[in-house]
Order: sequence, then structure tokens, then C-alpha cells
Amino acid sequence: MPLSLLRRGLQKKEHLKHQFSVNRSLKKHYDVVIIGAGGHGLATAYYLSRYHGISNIAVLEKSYMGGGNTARNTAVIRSNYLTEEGVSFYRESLKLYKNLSNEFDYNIMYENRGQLTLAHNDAAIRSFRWRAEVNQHLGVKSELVDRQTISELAPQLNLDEEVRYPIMAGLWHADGATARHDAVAWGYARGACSRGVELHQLTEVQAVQVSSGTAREVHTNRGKISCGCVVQAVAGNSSVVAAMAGIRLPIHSYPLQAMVTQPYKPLLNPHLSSPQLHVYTHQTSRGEFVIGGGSDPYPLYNTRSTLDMKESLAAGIVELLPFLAQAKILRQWAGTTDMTPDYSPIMGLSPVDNYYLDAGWGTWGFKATPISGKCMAELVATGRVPDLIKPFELDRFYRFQQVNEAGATAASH
Amino acid sequence: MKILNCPLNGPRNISEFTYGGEYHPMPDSMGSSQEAWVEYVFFPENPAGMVTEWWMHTATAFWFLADRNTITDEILRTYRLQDAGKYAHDKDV
Amino acid sequence: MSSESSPPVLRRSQLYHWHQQQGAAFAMTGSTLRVLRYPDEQAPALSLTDLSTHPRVGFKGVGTRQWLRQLAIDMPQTPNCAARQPDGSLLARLSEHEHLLLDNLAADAPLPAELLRRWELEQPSQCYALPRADSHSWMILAGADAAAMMSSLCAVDLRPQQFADGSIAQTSVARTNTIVIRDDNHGLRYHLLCDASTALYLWNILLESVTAFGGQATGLEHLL
Repeated sequence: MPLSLLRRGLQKKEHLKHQFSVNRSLKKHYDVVIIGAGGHGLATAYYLSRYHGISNIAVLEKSYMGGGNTARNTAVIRSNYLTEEGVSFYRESLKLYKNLSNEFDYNIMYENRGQLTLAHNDAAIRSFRWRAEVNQHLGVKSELVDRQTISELAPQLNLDEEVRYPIMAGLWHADGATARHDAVAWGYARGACSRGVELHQLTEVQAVQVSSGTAREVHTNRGKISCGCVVQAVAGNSSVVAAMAGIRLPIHSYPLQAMVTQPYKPLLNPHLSSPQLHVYTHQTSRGEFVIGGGSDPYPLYNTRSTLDMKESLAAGIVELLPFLAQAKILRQWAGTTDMTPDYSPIMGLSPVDNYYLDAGWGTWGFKATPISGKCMAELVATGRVPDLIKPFELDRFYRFQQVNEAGATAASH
Repeated sequence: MKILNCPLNGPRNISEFTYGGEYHPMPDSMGSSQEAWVEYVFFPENPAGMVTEWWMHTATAFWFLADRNTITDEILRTYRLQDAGKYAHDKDV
Repeated sequence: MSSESSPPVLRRSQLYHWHQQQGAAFAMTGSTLRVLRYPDEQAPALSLTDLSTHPRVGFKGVGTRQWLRQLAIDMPQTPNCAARQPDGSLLARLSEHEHLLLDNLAADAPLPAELLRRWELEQPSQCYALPRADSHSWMILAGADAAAMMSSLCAVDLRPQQFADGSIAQTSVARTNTIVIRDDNHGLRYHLLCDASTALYLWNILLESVTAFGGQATGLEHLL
């Protein structure tokens, strides 16, 4: 709005309204304590306050809102997974994403770009066929495409056959999308805070007091809180926080490094992903290419950078888009991926009665933000595990009923 | 590049090695419950701090143990399996 | 094969087609082809030669050293060291128990065949023979610049003052697993053994570096 910008520019004093609750002291008790103010924690608070009439909620964040993996993912939204459980879950997430700007009355800059996953060998083509069949059966737009179609979808892609891994076919997922990841967190926070939810940043959970199988108190660096129940939504620190409540999780935490190039004119519309080259990219609306890959080769709670991972990202992306050999890297960063044995999340009940888990978000957390919040809110409000997340409960490992999505993640790890 | 000191081959780039998971004594193959096996197979400690891990020098397929800090990414020491007992209670250095 | 207990030898190297394309002159020993020379060879100071069709055999298992001791074989005292045998063959100790015996350059040392024959006869306890002819490819890099050349392909310091004659590094060369053995003989020489499936890749990478140092691929005659 240029006119309002001009008006604001001429004003001597700016009276900005805080969109989120700030500078509050902690109350003695909250009905729901949510640990982690990332997309998932904030979404849970939002759906609880808007649709379940529960607003005596504290969202505790040791750092700043949306500053963990919500800020560090590569903002890919897709639902072309492999298992019926996985596809159904992410499909619902995509539906919510499509309408999220309207839901918030706040622009999350959702863009339907489509996602093109590349096959460089026969085994990949077989698995793409399989995924396309499962996806179509469940109403997700997903199809196997040939080199001709690939060249039309992404004309800049190197389709030369004289390369290390020539592109043989692709899995085209027309529903693939992206959104401004910070705006997703802000939209949920704004909606939740306007309904009475308290967001407490710089509030680190240091202990969870459990007695007779029930979480009673949450101890923070700002004091103790008694709680009706606890929701843990701390992707990247799931094992550490769960251990405070005496819960063990089947998770290894690995860094995942990403980087962004200088901006270019718009030239690539869809997301591109090559599981064989361990690299994926899309061009942001700012023109930069966001480049991500597989997780680091060993676990670490540290977002340091390594030359070898950056080298591997660069080598992969230059094979796909050779002109990027000239690109300058503007920024690089890392997030922490909580990898589960089956590459599916861990959601729902835990061995502690009123302690709910939203964990194991590996490399698939951002795309699941809306549906996770919605399902976790329903679980907290009703005490019943929604059917959509029933397959993801922690107990599945004891029953050997894993939901294997290892073949459908963007980069195998 | 980070250097890992292989007990057999000496200091090498960490890219020459393969991470092999946390080191935990295996449950008794006869007497252990299914639950104990599930936890042994699927549930690591995944600690933020010192951890003892399996590593393999890929070029020689030589397996050994390393004490590593998962916050600072420092490798405290590497040693052969037969020396595991020596360092079991000495991870706070 | 000359007798049943000779180490199995490759008839053709994994690099055979490359050699053929260069117009190599081959020598045939039994049914085994070895490159004698290439047409454009000019006695380079730095050379790369394919020894993949030379005899070699491995032994492993906790009984290996005891058995070799009984045979009065000169054994390296520590892993990652190699010991030259009187007939010119080279015994490389790759780990606590695993040993690899490489024939001499002329491929006429009796020990590889002799050891395998004794192993078959005696069936030593907890010692197992390892056929190595087709698992690994074998190249030799020779010349004073070899260490400088390797420094861009391998992270281990192979300079003569750091990596003594008879030293072994099992490491990554041009990102592929390789056994590097220093074995001086008319100057600085390194044996390079890699998985047979990566032979052509490694050969081309090495040759690119060799060429950058003014060197060439050569046949056996150049080394003998």
C-alpha cells in the first residue's frame, strides 16, 4: 500500500501494535504448556484456541519464535509420499496450506509451483511408478513424466546424456508448493495470541516433573509452572526434551546443511529434487536458488558448516543447472533433523499420561505444520488420538509397524 | 576437514570413515524380552554431549570406538573395542 | 594356468580396452596379456603402469601369522607395512592378520604360487586364502614427482620423508578406496590397488595428473 507507506513515512512517531504477546510474566498454571514456539507448537496453540475453546495456553520458547527448524527448512510443501498413511496425512496438510492465508487473513505467500523429482536409474523409475499409483489412488496429483515433459517443465535443466547420472524420467507432483516459512509461524502466533494464548520467548524448559506417570510441573529458567498437560514440539531437540520427562525416542539428530545463491531473474518455476545427487532446489520469489541436500553423515547438535557437504551440494546442483557454476553463495545455514528409523514422525500419546509428542520431524516437518497442529490440538482437546496420526504413535516401534517413507524423502540419508 | 584418529591407520580425514551408531552392549540373545531388543535396535540415547560410538575406517573395514561430544563435534578419543572398559567411566574430560 | 595351485591370474586387465585403444604392444604369458609398451612412449620421468594381470594372493585369519612364521617368511612387524621377499615379491600386512602378497614386476617370483600350494596342502588352522586377482586392480606410479602428484589426489602425506619405503596407506585416492604401498625400486614407486570396478575411473584420474606432471602411461618394459 504505497499511500499508507507515505503516511507512515511522514509520521514522526510510529505506533506499531505488537502482533504477539510480549513481556508477560509467567502464570502459576496453564491448562496446556506447549514446549517450542516453532510452526508446530504455534499451530497447535492456534487450533486449540480457535476451534476447541482452550486458550489458557503457554507456548514456551528457549530462543525466539520460529527461529529453529521453522526458519531453517527449505520451504517445500508436497504430499507425494509412498505409504497410504503418509500420503493421507500430508495430503490433508497441503489442503490446509492452500487456504492458510485466508484462514489467517495474513499472507503466507503460498505459491503452487509443482515439484519435479528426477530419476537417474531404473530403480528410481520403478519407485516413482509405485508412488504415482499410490498417490493417484489417494487423490494426490502425481504422475511419471518423460524427458520431453521434463524439458517443458524446467527448460533450464541439464538433460544431456553425457553426464554422470543422466536424467531418465521424473515424478511430477502438480500440487507441490512453497510458502514463506516465517510467515507461517507468524500467522499461527498472531491468531493464537489474539485468542489469549501466551507466547513466552527466551523461556527455556529445564526440567519436567513427572509423578505417578503424570506431568505435574514444567521448570523453566523463569520459574515453575504447573500444567494440565504438556505438548512437546521441539524438532531438533526431541530426544533431549523427551528425556526430561523420562521418555526415550527412536531418534538420531543430524544436521542438514543448505545454502542460497545470489538472485537471478525468474527462470525456474517448479521445485527440483534429485535423490541420486542428494540435492534439491527451487527459485524463491526473490530470485535466489535455495539448495538443500541430505543430512550430515553423523549425528550432531550443532549447526556448523562443513566444506565437504557444501561441496557435495554444489557438485549436485551444477550437474542439474550448469549455469549455477557461476553463482555466488549468499548465505548458508544448517538445521537439525530428528531422523526416525522409518522416516515418519512420532505423534500422539507417550508413556507419560498427559504428555503429548510431536517429534521425529526429520526433513518433513515444515510441510506437515498445519495438519500436525490441527491433529495435536484435537488430541489435547478430546484426549482421543485422531485417526490421521494413529499410525505415527511411538508405540509402533514396539509392534514393528513402522511407516516406511525412506524411499520418498527428497534425499536419501 | 575434520580429522579422526583411526587406531589402526592413524589420523585421517573424517570422510574416510563411516558412522556406525551408538555403542551399547548387546542384550543377552537368549534371555532378553522383545522390548529390550526393540530398544536396543531402535532407541538410541541421542544425547547432547559425550557419546561412545562405532566408527569404521571405510578403506580397511576396520571398526573401532570413538568418544565424541555431539554439541562441540570434538572427538575426545578413539580406541579398539577391547579397550572399551578402560574408558567406560571417563567421559567427562 | 601353469598348475592348479598358481594364484588365479586375470587374462585381461580391467583396462584392456583402454590399452587396446592406445595401440599397446602386448606380451602373452600363458593366456595372460600384459602391456609391454605403447607406441608413443618416450621413457617419461613419471610413469603410470597397469599391473592388474600380475599374480597376487591374500591370506587372512588369526592363524595366518603363525603359519607364515612356520614357513620362515619375512613378515612385517606392524600392520600397514610391507616386506620385500628374496624373490622380489612383496608381502603387505594390511591389518593385524590380513596379508597380501604381490608378485615382482617381471611376474616371475615363485613365492605366490608356492604359498598357495602349501596352503592347499597344509590347510593351516584359521588361515584363509583370498583370491585377489579380480577383486582389485593394480597400478604402479613411478618417478621422483610421484609424491607431489599424489598430494592433490590423496590426503595422506606420501612424501618420501614422511612415508618411508615399505609403508602402506589404505585410504581414499580421488575419492575411491585405494591401497597405497611405497616400494622403491630404481627410485620412488607407489603401488596402487583399488576395487576392480573403479579401475578405469582411477586410471583416467591418475593419468590426467601424470600428464600434468609431464608423465605418461607406460608398459612393463619401461619399469624392468
